[in-house]
Amino acid sequence: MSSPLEKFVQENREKFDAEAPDPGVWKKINERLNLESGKKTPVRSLPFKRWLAVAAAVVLVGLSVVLYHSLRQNKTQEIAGAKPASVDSSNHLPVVNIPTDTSTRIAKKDVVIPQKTITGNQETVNALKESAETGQNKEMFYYAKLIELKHDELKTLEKDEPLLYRQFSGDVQKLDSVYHSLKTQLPNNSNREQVIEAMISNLQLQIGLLNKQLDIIKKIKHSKKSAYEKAYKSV
Amino acid sequence: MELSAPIQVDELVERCRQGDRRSYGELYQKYSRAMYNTSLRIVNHTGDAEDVLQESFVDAFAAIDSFAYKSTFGAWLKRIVINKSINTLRKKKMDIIDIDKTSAVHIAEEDDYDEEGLKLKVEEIKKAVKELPNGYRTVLTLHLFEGYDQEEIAEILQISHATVRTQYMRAKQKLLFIIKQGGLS
Repeated sequence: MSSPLEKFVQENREKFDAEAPDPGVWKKINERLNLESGKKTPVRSLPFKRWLAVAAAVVLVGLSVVLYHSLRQNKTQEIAGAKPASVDSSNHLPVVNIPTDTSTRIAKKDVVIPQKTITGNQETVNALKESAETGQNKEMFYYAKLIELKHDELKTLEKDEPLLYRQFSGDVQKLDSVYHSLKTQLPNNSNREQVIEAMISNLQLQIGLLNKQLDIIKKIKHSKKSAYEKAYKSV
Repeated sequence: MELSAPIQVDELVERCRQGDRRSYGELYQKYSRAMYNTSLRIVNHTGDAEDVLQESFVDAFAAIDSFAYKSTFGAWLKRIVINKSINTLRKKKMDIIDIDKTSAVHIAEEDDYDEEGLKLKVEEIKKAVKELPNGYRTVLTLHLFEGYDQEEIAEILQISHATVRTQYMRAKQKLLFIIKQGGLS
């Protein structure tokens, strides 16, 4: 609907913007900018891309810690696995090599006794271990449950930020696969306690990672929302 | 204005995002006059318009990271200015919709003014716009000067399309009436 009035305004549009604001307006704006920049620089909200970078750094640090732990765990297991074997062979060797010597019979008897005490000790140790393991099982169950909850929370992100979600869940899955490989090692590993400890620390890392991811998401959502609202809604 | 050098403005915006203080000043220089006049036409008060200008630039600079280039920077800023101007009117409990029944009936019967016969002058139009009641003035200025279409105005003012249309028609009739009277006296 272009009537003569509308046409006229369009043709002379610039002339209608003839009023100039008071120069004091810019002064006030500048003062407020100074104030805000003084206040804001330490808490400046980061743009989305930088958040991604922060998330990546957190994940990298987390993964390297896990890797370091699991490598160290393997080394100590190898040492621990090797030790009892060498003790066994040194116990057996003199008995087999010199059979018809009386001194060795005595030696044999001498040897048998400590062996009994060793097995007795082993039993009590095993019993202790089992009670400790049930405690650890409970701990693990608790962590697993917590991880499940956090994962559900993370999943609500899938719709809004599918890319970020994929990245986040990928990172958690990497940790989880380490956990499962530890779990498969558990039944035939002589050093159960260390494996279980590694499993628990893995679960704790998973929770820490999920917490950080959820934190980042919250901050992204918040900064997006507040910026939008500030620009459009507030007076 | 913003059409002549959109890339230059985008550069300014980027530099503002990086915290370059001089670019803030340049953006203000570039847009303050147009934004001030836009606000002034709605709030109809120089002091209020200057407050709106100040608040709008402060908010726009604070939220400049969220400006996503979906429109030009000027259009984005103008929308902030308009929202704040309308809020200023609302705060003063001024009706955004004028229920001016007598003149509405009156104008409806008289139908169109002979726009062709009117000699239109910038100063007369500006003067007549100032004399319009708030609601008419807001709807008229959003379409006539800021170029928003009916749907956009309906969204900005939170009123129906039909209301926008009738308000605009009446506002225009009244404006022409005032101009004609002014010309006679």
